[in-house]
Amino acid sequence: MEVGKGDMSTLAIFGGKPMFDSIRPTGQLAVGETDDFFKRARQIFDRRWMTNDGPFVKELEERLKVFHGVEHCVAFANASIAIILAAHNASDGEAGEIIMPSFSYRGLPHLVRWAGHDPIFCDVDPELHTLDPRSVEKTITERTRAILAVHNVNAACDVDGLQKIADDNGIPLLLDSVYAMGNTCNAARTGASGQLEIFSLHATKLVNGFEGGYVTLNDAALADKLRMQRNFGINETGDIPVLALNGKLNEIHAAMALTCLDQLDDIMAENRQRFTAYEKTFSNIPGLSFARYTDDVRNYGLVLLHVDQDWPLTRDQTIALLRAEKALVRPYCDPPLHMDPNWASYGRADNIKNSESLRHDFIQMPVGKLTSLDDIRQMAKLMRWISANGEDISQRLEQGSADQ
Amino acid sequence: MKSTINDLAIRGGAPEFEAPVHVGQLNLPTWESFETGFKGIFEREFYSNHGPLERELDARIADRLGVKHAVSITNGTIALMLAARALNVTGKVIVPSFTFPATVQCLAWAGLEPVFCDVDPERHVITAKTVEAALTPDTVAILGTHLWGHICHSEELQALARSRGLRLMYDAAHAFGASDGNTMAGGFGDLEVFSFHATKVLNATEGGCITTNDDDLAARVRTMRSFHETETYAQVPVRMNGKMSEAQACMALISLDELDVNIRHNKTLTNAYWKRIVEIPGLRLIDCAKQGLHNYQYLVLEVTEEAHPLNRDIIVNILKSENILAKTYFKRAVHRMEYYRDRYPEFMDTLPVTDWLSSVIFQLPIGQSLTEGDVARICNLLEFIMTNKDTLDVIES
Repeated sequence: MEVGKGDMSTLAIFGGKPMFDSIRPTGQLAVGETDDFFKRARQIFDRRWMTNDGPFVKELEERLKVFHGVEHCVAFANASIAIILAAHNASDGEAGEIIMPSFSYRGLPHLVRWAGHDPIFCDVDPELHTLDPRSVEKTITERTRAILAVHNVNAACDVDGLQKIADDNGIPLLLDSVYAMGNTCNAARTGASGQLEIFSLHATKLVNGFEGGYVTLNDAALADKLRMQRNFGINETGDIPVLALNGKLNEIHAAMALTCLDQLDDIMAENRQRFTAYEKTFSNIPGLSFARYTDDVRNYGLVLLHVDQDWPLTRDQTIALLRAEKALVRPYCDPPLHMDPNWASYGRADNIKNSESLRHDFIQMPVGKLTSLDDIRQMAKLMRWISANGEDISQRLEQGSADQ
Repeated sequence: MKSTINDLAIRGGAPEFEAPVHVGQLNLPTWESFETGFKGIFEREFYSNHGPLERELDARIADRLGVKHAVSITNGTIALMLAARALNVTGKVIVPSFTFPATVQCLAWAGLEPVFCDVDPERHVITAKTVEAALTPDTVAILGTHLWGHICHSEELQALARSRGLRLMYDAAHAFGASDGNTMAGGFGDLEVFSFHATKVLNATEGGCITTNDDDLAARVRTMRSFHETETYAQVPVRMNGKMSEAQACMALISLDELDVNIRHNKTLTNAYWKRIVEIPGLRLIDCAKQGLHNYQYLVLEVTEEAHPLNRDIIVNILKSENILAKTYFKRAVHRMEYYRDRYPEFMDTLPVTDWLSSVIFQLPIGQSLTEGDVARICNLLEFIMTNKDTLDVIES
């Protein structure tokens, strides 16, 4: 669409032609050289080895081990399965509680429930969105089995503060590092903190393996156990000493992940360019800014646009308007988990005010391979125009919802 | 061809097969169909999250099996976990011990407890009688396995489940394409779970699916398999990522196209094995095809008394040394696995048929990469072993 004509009917939400012909997603959807993928696939065919700890899974684990600077890497069918096993192993299945940030991914409490534990929700830092150790400390009980912290989109979590609480209470610190591949924590690559860190190879993440996940850790015995658990718990004698499942990554997904990993530097560089373009083109639009990204962030996998009082529309109106233009933006961590009716009966810190006040603040903007620098410029231009015509647009949007 | 026992690999002879031959289908699509399918994925740039291929697969499986709903999942075990949890019950579930461990493992993940029951010695599946013997007051469900693709005694199990108010689900990992009379596996009980692991007749590398005629259960498992708000169809207690990727769905769809060819090949091989093995004393083939359609994906044998002084383990070891990687499913039944014997010692000596089958059953290679010539060589070797069984026993001891 052309903007700046002062004609609201050009907005897709009011019936105009969408700005983009095809969707601009909020996930990476990066791929390596498809020729390289097909070459690897050919090897899978030649070997007739499609899953069960195949050569590509092993190669991927080796490369990720080196990338993260850790002693062990165990690949999984997806990150959810890895988190379920990690939560189960925290107490060898003895039911209890697992502490997690409330301002976080909506899947986390479900996964903890699969492991038989109750999720307990804590508050986060108002700027970095990371699990607040002071909030965690107050919710520790005899039933606490683990702290599940999250390295965020915009900052690594306070690993030292959280590890101290974990150590004082004899429980493991587990890290959901799904957002943090390629980022740093305490000046080293993420992957080596806590008892283990869990990463994702989902298509929307930095390295696209269709679906997939992996765990990094330095504990050899736990790595062996996880390997056994992803293959039904079968040990070298054919016995099964532990509760287990099928968590195997297949060779085609591993081949895809390896092919994408080959291009990781380029993928991260392009993400950074996009992020810089966002900052530049959106600068000085009243009411819009970006979440504070710390120096730990290197992957710029997600772009979090902050909306405040000076912006003429509500966050949700803005989302609806952009989605109509085929920019598939979405809210971020809203509602906070402790306010989700699913988890109403579970425990929480007394005060989770930061998570509550952050809930309406952010929009996840389009990122990744399908979003060009020009797309970003177009979105900025649109937002500037909305800023200038905010009152009229807001009125018409409210009129529209009143009419319905 | 072995002429003296010194030609056997265990005696230093050259192995019968230069490269290992496997149990497990490992059926590959043609390279052309793979390339076309995956180029399509790269063009669409749609890699997972309920993509067009996943939806097509669900529709085609439902159609093929004559069942209302098919819901594809990451793998068969995750599908079992989701299915067991979707039943929305708490308590004990009657389950065979003579089954792949995942059948039982899914229960603990769904907050349920196993009660092990025995199986029928002919078809190796649970019956109303074996289930009834295991019933407890807090039993809430029955989970049967269509082992080797033999459909469980579904009518009597259904009647029993109905009269006792129990849920009934099946692990149909072995049974894609099999039927009992006119009903295909997929339509029995409250729901059924399939595996599309590479060793199965339908190969998605990894993969699985849940089938049901119950709209409510279908809505529940469809909701449970991802966290997507747009894929929310029912109130469910928990969700997870159980999504099948477009890559897996692509593999499964091509494999579905080639299913009949692969089943026909399995049948040809089964017949070739059958002709020879009926002539070999000490070995008995388990008949798969009495009930209706079959996929012939497992070639299952029993080692009988006549094999004495040889036994199942000696025979399988000899085969392995010849690069024939025979399998001994299920040499250790699930109730005898450490995790279960620690928690449920009360079942230790209550399953005589299971324990007997664990000691006499083994599986031979079958599938796309095996030829009738290979079958002849395997049968020649088996015949040779049995002809020389008394001499071989001396070597072993």
